[in-house]
Amino acid sequence: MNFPSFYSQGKYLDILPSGVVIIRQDYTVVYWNRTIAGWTKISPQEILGCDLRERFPHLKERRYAMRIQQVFDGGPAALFSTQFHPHFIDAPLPGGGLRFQRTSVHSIQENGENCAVLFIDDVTDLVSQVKEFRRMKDLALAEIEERKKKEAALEESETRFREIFNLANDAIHLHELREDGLPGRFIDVNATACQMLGFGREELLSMSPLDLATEYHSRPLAQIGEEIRTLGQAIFETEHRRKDGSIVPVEVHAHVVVIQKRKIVLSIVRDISRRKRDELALLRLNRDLKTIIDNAPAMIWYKDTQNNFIRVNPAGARFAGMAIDEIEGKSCYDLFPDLAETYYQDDLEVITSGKPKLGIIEQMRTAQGKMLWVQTDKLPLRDEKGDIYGVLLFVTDITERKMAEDALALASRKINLLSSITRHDILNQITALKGYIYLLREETDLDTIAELVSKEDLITDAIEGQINFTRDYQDMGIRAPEWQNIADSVEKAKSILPVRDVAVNVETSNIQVFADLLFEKVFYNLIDNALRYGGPSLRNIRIFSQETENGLVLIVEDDGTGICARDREHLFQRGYGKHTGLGLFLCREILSLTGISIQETSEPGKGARFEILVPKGSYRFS
Amino acid sequence: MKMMIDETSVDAIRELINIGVGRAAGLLNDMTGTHIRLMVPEVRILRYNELIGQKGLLGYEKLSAVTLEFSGGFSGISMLVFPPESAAILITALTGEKIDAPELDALRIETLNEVGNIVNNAVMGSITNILNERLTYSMPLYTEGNIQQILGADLSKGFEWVILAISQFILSDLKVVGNILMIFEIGSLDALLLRIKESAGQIR
Repeated sequence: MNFPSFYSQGKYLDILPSGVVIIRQDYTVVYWNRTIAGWTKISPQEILGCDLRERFPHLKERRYAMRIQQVFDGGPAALFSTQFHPHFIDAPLPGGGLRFQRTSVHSIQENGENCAVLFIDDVTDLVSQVKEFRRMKDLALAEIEERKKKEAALEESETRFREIFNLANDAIHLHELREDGLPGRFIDVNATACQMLGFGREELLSMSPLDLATEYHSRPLAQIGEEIRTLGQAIFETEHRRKDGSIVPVEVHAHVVVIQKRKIVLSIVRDISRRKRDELALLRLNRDLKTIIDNAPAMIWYKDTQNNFIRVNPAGARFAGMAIDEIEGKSCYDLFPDLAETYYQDDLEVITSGKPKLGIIEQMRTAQGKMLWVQTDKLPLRDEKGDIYGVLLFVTDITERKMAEDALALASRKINLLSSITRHDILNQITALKGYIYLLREETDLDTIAELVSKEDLITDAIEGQINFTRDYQDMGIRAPEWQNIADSVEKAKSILPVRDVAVNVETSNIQVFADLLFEKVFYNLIDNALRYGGPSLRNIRIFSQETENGLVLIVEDDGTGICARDREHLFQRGYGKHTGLGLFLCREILSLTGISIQETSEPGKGARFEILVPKGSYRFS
Repeated sequence: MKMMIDETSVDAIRELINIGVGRAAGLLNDMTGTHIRLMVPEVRILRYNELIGQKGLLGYEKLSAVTLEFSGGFSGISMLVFPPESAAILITALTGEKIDAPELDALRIETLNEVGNIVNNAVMGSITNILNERLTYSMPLYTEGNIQQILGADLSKGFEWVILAISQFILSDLKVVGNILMIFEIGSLDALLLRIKESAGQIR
């Protein structure tokens, strides 16, 4: 087949940058230029005379075939855009993929035959550019969208920050940072700062924090500046002067922050007026409390829940015979090993019940060995959550009170005794007196009458003595025990007794005994008994002492007939005896007031012997 | 020359155009995989100098037009003209993407050019096939501007009548309106109508 008229120009069509293909109505390829051959790697020799649709079957589709047929029918050129027909003739790219093409199909007449010429432009670069443009555009749109979101978030954040900034309870200062770390001018302040200082915002923005601060700073200003410069933060106290001149104490938390690549300082400024007042009040309260604790006569102990001492006051330390720092922090088991467990059981009762345990009356021995009566009150110590963290002990020395109470009780008993004894003794004397009066009525002998009257005088004197003694007894019964010299007490007793020719020897002239004031009555009764019942062999009464491990033994012995076995068993019973039956009972009672005991230790046929045991602490040598 | 426009002729022209756009719709369906219906609800014949004064669909400052000149037994210009919004919607509907950036003008123009080429070719093919007329055509040309700029001052001289076919591209729930203009040189519409009548006579 020869197409000289059009194809004679083939050498020119070969140099076109577009692909040029000519087909007959039956799609037989009659021309295949060099460009399309290069794109498709199909040489003209391979394809000329072939049906184009066999190599490129998609051309059979209606959307190609129908439009190409219109061209064969003499219709206008058909345009195939890249958008809808990107690969009219499949032409692979060196890097993979197919060339993008824009194609137009034109009708030509060659030798009276309708043919179609296909002009195919390679628009791969354009499509790539479009793709790149779209990618960039999508990227830009995404970035714009992202930026919009960020801007919206930033705006929301800014609004929220501004609200928080202004609603904060503390003043917030943003100010410049000088090279020495000290503050420059204000950049921003919140509403609280304005309220705190009484300045308007604009006024403050023309000032520096140093314009507000007084001379007082909790650390030297230069040191604070150095901390901010080197550490980036500082916490300190200072005072700010309000617009009206009044002073507000403040605590400043200053932090260096970077905003828009610029270092500035963000300071949280807290009004600590109230805290300062509270601190001062607390300081005073602590001082007062310490004064009370240190000077309280009571012993005060703070213990934890594990039986360890947390704190003790001087009275407590004195009691323990240790310095305060020897006690605080130590375990009770170390300091009081014998009693620690007993104390701890009481503590645990308070700790587990959460209730105070008050009025524990107990005896304690001081470091000096002195026994004391004490009242202990134990109270739970609670922390701010109400949990018990220890026990507070108030230990009060009630020895004197205890003795006074005991003495009071005994005094009551003594008064009863006094009444009973006095009544009994006086009635005896009156009975005797009545007897003598009866005899006097019948008696006519003057000598006998004189003797009877003399006896009546003696009885009257005895009654008078009894009554006087009762007065003394009564007076003494209401007074506290005292230190009394033994020899003096014996001498007083002896002076009111008819000792006749009996020698009373006292060998204890320098010993004092802590006893009730009725102490002399003891000797009175013992000597009186010896005189009454010692018999004709009685010549000596001896009073002497021996010091033993348990105390002082005071011995009263005589050389009379002694005490029969029957009487020895009941000697100290009230009302038992040949005379009033009250003497030895009274002795025992008087001595017992101050812890002194008495016992009879006679040996048969060797006279009477009484031993009075005075406990340690209740006698002394003058 | 006396104009022989009657209702029958207008009906015949409407039918020819409908055949053409129907074929174009089929092609567009095949190309895009989108169901497109093309309808021509209104066909008017007016004088060329009345065209400039047409408001509504041709009253925009930026119209997109694909033009195809033809010559032979009757001569003139076949033209598919879209208002700007319709052009954008049509491209988005057909290609599935927005091609509205200035940098993508080439793509947009190429796409509209093919759509216009399909419609123009289908309409002209419909007319020439039925009338068994063979015409000579120019290369399709894409232009933008108002209707005067599209028509061009020098083109105004030899034209007499215009067939204005208002066409609707219906894509799912979208309705895009375009105008098919067939502008005839002096005497060419008469020649066309005569050919239509002759063909009708032959058919009978």
